[in-house]
Amino acid sequence: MKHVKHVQTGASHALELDPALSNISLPDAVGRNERGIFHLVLCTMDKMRVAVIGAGVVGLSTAVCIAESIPDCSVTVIAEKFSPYTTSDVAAGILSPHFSRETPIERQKRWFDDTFAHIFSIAQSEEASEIGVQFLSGWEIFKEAPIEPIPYWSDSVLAFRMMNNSELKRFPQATFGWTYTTLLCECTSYLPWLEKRLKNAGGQLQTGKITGFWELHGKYEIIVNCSGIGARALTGDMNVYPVRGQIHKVHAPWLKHFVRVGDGTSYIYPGISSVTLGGTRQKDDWRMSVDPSDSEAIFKACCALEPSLQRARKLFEGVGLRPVRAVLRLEKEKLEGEGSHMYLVHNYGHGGTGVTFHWGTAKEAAQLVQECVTEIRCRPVRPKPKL
Amino acid sequence: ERRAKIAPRQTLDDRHKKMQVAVIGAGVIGLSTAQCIIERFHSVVKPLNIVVYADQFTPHTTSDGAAGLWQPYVLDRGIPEEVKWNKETFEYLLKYVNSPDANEMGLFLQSGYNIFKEPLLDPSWKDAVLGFRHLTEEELKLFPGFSHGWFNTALMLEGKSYLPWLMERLKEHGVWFVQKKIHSFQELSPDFDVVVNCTGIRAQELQPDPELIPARGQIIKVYAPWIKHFIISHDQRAGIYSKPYIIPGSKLVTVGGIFQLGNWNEENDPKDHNIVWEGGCKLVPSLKNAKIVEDWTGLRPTRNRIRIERQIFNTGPKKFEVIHNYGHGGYGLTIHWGCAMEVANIFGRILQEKKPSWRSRL
Repeated sequence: MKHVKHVQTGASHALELDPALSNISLPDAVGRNERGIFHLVLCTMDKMRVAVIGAGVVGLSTAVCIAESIPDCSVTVIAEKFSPYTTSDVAAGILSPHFSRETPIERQKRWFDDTFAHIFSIAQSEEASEIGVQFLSGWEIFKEAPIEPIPYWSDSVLAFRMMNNSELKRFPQATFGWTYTTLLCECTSYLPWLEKRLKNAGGQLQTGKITGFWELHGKYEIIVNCSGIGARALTGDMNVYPVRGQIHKVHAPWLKHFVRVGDGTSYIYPGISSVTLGGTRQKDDWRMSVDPSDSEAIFKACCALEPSLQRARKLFEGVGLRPVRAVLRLEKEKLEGEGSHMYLVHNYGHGGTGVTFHWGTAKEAAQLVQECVTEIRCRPVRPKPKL
Repeated sequence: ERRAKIAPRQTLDDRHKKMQVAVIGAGVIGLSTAQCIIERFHSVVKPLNIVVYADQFTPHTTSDGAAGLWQPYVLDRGIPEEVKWNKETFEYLLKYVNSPDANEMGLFLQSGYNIFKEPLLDPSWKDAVLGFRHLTEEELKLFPGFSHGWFNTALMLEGKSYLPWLMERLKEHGVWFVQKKIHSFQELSPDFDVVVNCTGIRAQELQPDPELIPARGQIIKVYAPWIKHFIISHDQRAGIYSKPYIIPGSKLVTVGGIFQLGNWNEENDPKDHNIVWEGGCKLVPSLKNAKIVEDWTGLRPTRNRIRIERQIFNTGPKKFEVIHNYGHGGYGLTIHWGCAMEVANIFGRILQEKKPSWRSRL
């Protein structure tokens, strides 16, 4: 007995497949129930080929979620750059949502909660350090109290509360602040671990540059677009734009807390291998090279927050282009063309909140892929069956 | 280079103008006491000569091995002076934490957890530290088997950095250092007016004190830079520091949980190593991937209360004063500055008795 969905009505029907056909490799099969004979077309029983474009934290986690939750799929990640050369590798990796309110808060909360739970269980495991995950407490300080004194994610992190006066005293410019415990996920370790996990689930990695989705037609049934800032050129979507971030990695192992200035311009994130000092937020700035005047400004601002940084040993600097979009694009699309069509799932526009939302958006993207798979599997090519 | 000449005997006239002070012990107590005295009185007493005698200097003192977390015991004996000295030390150090000296001093902020299997009263030091609070339900999930806990931001003061920093400050003031084991106060009495006894667990050797008992501790130092909080587990019946604790330092993480009263053994014990290691890995599973760097054993100079008192020695050719400052147990770094100031107060009274025109500047 097989349950299939009628493509036109969407109704579910239980069918007995003709045993004579059970060995035949489809494209079509004939089944019968009390309503008569249905002619169905089922796609080849070969695996559904999925291409994930992009091998940053979003691409790799999405590929893993698909490969692990949809055994019907074979997943290939295609990217120009792999760790340690992705945007994710530059990020400090702190789990801390700061995203446009144009994206519905319920969605943001779900993505953050899913990601937090996923990284939390890694943090509690023996492998935490190998995967690049650690707990981190610290302070988020403001010159003036923010419009919303309590953010939507206050329940999602651990032990969120307002800073008291004795804690604020250490930051003379601050009049208000939050303190909480969250997680940090260093992508230079996390991405290689995701790559390994993907391979264990039967996935593959491939270097390549995609300039148009149709390049993949005939080779893949479903494309998942996790191209980050690359989505702008790939899709022509002008809503996604770069916000340039420059950072400085230093050796300062005595620092045990994060400090973030409310507007996000200055921050100190002590990670496992180094402390990340930042930053800049330069809209529509595509420069990937390090700017010495930014370096100076970053270091000066961070030393003002944490004077002991004067003694820190500088390691290296980096630049990343945050793929900012007011509304994170996580949706299906059916591309028509050349007498055929391709299924597309978009998962880009995470801005500076990629690590923070990655697992939640990966799970949702995988669900969208599952919907595509179901649709493809139930596609009829014969005339409408009599009801 | 640590040997110094003792100044030749002065004439009676000269003796009225100056003070010769010997400090025995170069751990955190000895050095900070010397610093407090010289800072407070160097412009009042000219010359004020201080010589520090010790058989061990940094990095071989008890203070060097300690993790360096500012935290008094969780179950207070409620001794008001000690509560006060703990708080004074925290406030003193907090002033330095944003200063350019912090790094050199080995001083930095660190937050963390004290976890318990049953409820207990908030400690006397809850207002001294920053942001003291109870753990939330979510946080307690981090520690299966524990039902209550505290979180606060405290200070770290690493002896291996702090002691050399203290010695530099003392050298700037002309303090001398002599590597020599002193066997009796009388040995020093001909040349010194005041002897400050900061000999820690060895105080017994200068003067019997049945209240002074070693509490042996053994720790493992590991490289685990992903651990950013201290975690100290407690069992009220077992006693302080007998249960696993993990205290990250500036470079290495201290894993411990040994507190053996009456044990004088200064050698590392493999059985204790295993207890500490297994206990630590149970608290923080990721510790299994930490690289073990070294083991270390130290004797906490434990006493019912810290002995800070003045003792006048009238017998013998010359009257001299001894100020005792020992018995700080496992909270020497935590309380050191308050005690140093108390000793400086006593020293001030001695000065006034000698020559009322000396006024100590507090």
